[in-house]
Amino acid sequence: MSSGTLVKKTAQLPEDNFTSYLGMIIGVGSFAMLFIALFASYGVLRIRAGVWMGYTIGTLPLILLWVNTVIICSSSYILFKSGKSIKAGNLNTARKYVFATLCFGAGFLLMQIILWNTLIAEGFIISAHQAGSVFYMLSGLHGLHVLGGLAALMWLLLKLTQNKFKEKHGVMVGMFWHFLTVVWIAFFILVVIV
Amino acid sequence: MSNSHEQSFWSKYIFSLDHKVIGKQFLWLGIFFLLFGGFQAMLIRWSLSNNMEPLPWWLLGDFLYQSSPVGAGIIGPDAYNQLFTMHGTIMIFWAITPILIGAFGNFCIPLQIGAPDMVFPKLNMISFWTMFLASVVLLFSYLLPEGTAAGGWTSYPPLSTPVGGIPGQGQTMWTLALTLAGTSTLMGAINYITTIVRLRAPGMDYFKMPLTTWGLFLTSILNALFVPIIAAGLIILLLDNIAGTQFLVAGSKATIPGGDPLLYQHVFWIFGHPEVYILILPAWGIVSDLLSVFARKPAFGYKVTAICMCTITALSGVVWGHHMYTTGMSPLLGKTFMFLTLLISIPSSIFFLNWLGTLWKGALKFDVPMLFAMSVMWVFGLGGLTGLYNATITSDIYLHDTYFVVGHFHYTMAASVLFGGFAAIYFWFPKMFGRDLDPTMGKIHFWGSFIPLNLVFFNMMVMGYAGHHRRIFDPSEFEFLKPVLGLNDFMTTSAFILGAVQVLFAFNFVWSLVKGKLAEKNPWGAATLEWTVDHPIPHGNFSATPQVVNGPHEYSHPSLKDKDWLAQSEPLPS
Amino acid sequence: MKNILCNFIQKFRQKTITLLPGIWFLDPPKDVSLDGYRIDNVIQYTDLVITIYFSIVVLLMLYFILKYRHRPGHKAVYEKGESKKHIGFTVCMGMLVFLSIDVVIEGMSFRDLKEAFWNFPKGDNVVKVEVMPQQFAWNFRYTGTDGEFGTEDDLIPAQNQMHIPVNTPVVIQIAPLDVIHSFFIPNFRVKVDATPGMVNTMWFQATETGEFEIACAELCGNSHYRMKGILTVESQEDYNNWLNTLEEEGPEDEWEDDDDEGVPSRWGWAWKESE
Repeated sequence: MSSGTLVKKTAQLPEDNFTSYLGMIIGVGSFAMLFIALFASYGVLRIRAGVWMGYTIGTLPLILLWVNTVIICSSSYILFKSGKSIKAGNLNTARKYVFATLCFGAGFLLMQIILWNTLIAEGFIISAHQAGSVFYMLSGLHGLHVLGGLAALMWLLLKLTQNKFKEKHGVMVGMFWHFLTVVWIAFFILVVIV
Repeated sequence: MSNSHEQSFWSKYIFSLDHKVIGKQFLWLGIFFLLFGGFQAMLIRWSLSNNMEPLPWWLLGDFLYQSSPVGAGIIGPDAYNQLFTMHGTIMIFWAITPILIGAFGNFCIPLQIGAPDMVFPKLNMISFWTMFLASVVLLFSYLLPEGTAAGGWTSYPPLSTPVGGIPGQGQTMWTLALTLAGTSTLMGAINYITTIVRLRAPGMDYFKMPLTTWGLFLTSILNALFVPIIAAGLIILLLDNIAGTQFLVAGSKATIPGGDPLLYQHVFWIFGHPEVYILILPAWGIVSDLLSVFARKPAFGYKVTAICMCTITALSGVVWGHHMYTTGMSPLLGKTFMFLTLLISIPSSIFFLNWLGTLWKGALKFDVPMLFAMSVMWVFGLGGLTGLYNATITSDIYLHDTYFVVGHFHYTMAASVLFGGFAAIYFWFPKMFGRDLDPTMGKIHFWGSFIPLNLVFFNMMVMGYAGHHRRIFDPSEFEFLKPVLGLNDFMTTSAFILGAVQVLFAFNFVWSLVKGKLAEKNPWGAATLEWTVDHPIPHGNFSATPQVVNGPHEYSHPSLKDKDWLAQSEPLPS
Repeated sequence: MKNILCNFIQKFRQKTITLLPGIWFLDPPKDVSLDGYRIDNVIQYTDLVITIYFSIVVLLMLYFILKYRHRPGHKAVYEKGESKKHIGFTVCMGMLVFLSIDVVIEGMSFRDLKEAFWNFPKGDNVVKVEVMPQQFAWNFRYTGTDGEFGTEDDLIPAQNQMHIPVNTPVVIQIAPLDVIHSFFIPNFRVKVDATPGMVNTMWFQATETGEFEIACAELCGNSHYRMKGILTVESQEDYNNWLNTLEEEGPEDEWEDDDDEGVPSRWGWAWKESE
C-alpha cells in the first residue's frame, strides 16, 4: 500500500480531556484503595482492641487539628473557585486562586509539623500505643501526598504563568487535591473524633 | 512524521518514550532476573540434597558464601532462608511481572489494538525506571552485612519485624523495593487500562480485541485495584521495622498492646490471591491466541473465553481466605471462602475446554511457540486441578505449608506463566527484534524444560503428600521425611538439567539477536494487527490508523483462496 | 572437567535406578489417628477424579495432535464455537466438572468438619494440653491434679516432649511465645497455626501407640528446620505413670528464670472453652 492512497493521517496520541481524566481517575482510585486499606486496618486494630488505649490529647493539638481541617477545606474551596474562573476564561483570577491554594496547602503542612511537635512534646509518640502509631501513620502518609499535591499545584501555576495551560490540567490537579481533602476529613472523623 | 525525527542514543534506547523500546527494556530486566532467580533455585536444590556440602565450581562455589559461618562455600540455614525468600520475590515480582506484564503488555497492547503508542508515554517510561530503581534497591540488599530478607516471600510478621530475630535491614530493603516495584506496576496498569479504553482503533470493539489484550486488560484492572492494598500492608510492615510501631506484633514479645499479625496475612492475601491471577491472566490470553494461530482456526468460543476470564477476575478478589484455613478461621468464614474458591473451577474448566475446542478440527503446526502454548495446557491443567486439594478445608489442613503447595503454585505460577512467557517470547521475537529465534535450539529448550520441569514440580507435590513441610533447610532432620530423601536428590538432578537448558535459551536469545535469520513480516501467518506493520516498526506504529473489520482469529475462512488468514484490518474478499 | 561430568552421570544413574519404582508415588506417613482417614479419603477421591479428567484432556490432546496435525491436504475447519450448541456443551461440561469434583469434595469436607474436626470432644476423659511454641522448640503444659491451667500445680515436661494416652481425645490450645509457628503432626494429618495474640484450638485422637514427630510448618526463623517435637502415644497406664513422675520431679530448673531470653515460668493461660 503506497502512502499516496492513505485516507487517514498518521495516528496521533489523543489530547482529549476524557482520556486524561480516565487515567487520573484510575490513579486517584488506586490511592483511594491504599487509604481504604489503611483505614480498614485501623478499624480492625481498633475493634480488636476494645478500649482504644484511652488516650487524651491536649487542647492545643485538638485546636490545631480543627484549624487544619478548616485550612484544607478552604484550600479545596479556593481551588474549586479557581476552576470556576477557568471555565469563565478568567485565567488571571484563576492564577491567584491557585496561588492561594498553594499557600493554604503549605500552611497546612506547616501546621501539621507544629501539631506533630506539640504532640511529641506531650508524649504522644508513634511507638507509645496503637493510637499513636495509627495517628502518625495516617497523617504522615497523608502529609506525603499533600507534598505531592503541592508539587502538582506548582506545576499548574507554572502552566498558568507560561500560558501553556489547558483546562484538563486544572481539573486533574483538582481531582487529586480534593481527594486529599476527603482523605483528611475521613482521617479527622474516623481517627480524631470517633 | 513522528517516525523520522532524530533521536539521540539516550532518548532512543535509554529514556525512550516508545512503548516497544520500553517493552524490550522490561524484557531484558525480566530475563536477567529470571536467570538470577533461577540460579538461586539451583543453590536451593543443591543445599537440599547436598546439605552442608561446599558448592561445586559450576554453582560458582569459588565465589559465593566465602565468609559463611558454617564454612567457605557452604550454604548455612540463614543463607538458605534468604535464598528461598529472594527466589520467590524475584521470580514473581522481578521476572514474571516484567516479562509478561511489562514487556508483552507494553509491546502488544498498542500494536494489537491499533494504537500509535501508550496513552501516557512519559508515565510508561517512569514506570520502567521505577522498576529499575526497585531492582537496584533489591540487589543492594544482598550487600548488607547480615544479608537480605529471610522471612519468606510472604514475609509474615512478627518474623519479619524486629522481634522476629532475622536480619532487619534486609527486610526493610525488601519492603522498600517491593513498594517501588508495586508503584511501577501501578503506573503500568493506569497506562494499560486507559490505552485500551481510549485508543482502540476504529472498529476494534472490546469483543474484537485479541485475547492477549483481554488478559492484560483484566490483569491491569486487578493491579490497579489490589496493588495499593499490598502497599498498605508494606507501609505498616515498614513502620514496624523502622519506626518502632507494633501494628503486626502481638503476644509476649509485644511492648505495645493491640497489634495483630493476622491483619497482615489478610492484607497480604487480599492482594496475594489476585496476584496469582494478575500473573496468569496474560498467560491465558497469550495461550488462547497462540493456539488459534497455530491450529489455523478461530479461537473456540472466543467470547465465552473472554467472559470466563472476566468472571475469574471478579471471583479472584473474594477468595483470599483459602490461604489461611489453618489460622483458626471461623467455620462460617472458612466455608464461605471454600465455596467461593471452588466456584472458580466452573469458568476455568469452561475456558480450558475452549482451548481443547480450538485444537479440535484444526491444522496444528508445531512451531516452538505452539509447543510452549500446548505445554501450558498440560501444566496449567495439572496446576489448576491440584488447586482443588488446597481449596478444600480438610485436605488443606494436611497439605497446607507442605511441598504440595509449593508444587501446586510452581505448576500454576512458575510453569504455566513461564511457559506462556516463553511462548510469547518465541512468538513475538521476530516482530520485536526483526530476527527469528533459532527453532532447533528452541525445540531443545522446550523439551529440555518441559520434561525436567515436570519431574521437579510433580515430585514436589508427591513429597508434600508424604508430609514434607515447606522451607526447611535440612529434610534429614525428621524421621518421617527419610523416604523422600532419595526423591529429593532426583529432583535436584532434574532441576539442574532444567537450569542448564535455560542457559541455552539465554544463548539462543542473544545469538539470534545478532545472527538469527531475518524475519518475515508475518512469519506465523497471524491475523492480529501487530503483524500488519513492517519491520522495524516506526515510532508511532501504524502509517495509517487501521480500520478493524474482523475478529482477532480469522483463520481458514472458507472464502479465502491464496492464504489461510485474514488480518483484522483486511476486509473479506467478496 | 571430564571426571566431574562422569561422576555426575554415574551419580545420576545410580539414583535413577534406585528411585524409579518409587518416583511417582510416595505414601504419606502412616495414619494413626481416629479421623485422619477422612482427610486421606478426600485426597484420594480428588486424586481419582482429577486423574480421570486429566487423562481425558491428555488423551484428547494426543488424539488431536495425531489427527489434526498440519500436513499437505489437511485443512482446518472454520469453526468459531460460538453456536448455542457449542456454548451449551462447554458450559455443561464446566458444570459437570463442578458437580463431580467440587460439590462432592465440598460435601465430604463439610461433613468431616462437622462430624470430626470442628466437633470438639467434651467430657472428663478429654486430655487437655496447652502448647507454646517458641523459636525453636515446643513447650507443653498439662493440668495438674486440679484440672485447671495457669495454676501452681501445672505439669511441664521437658521441652519438645509431648505424651498422650492412646484412644483418648486430646484437645490442644496453642499460642506462641514469639513468632508464628504451626503445629503439624504428619501421622495425624492435623495442623494448626500458632499466631501471637490468639489462642487456637485443635483436637485429635491416637489409635496406636508409638513415637511420632511434631514439625513446625510455618517458617519461624533460621532454625525452623530443626524445630521438632516428639509425640509419645502410650497406654493410659504409662501416661499416668509419666504424669506422676513429672509431678514428683517438680518443675524443671530451666523454667525458673523469668528473663527475656528464656520462657516465662508461668506462661499458661486459663483454658478457653470452645463453643
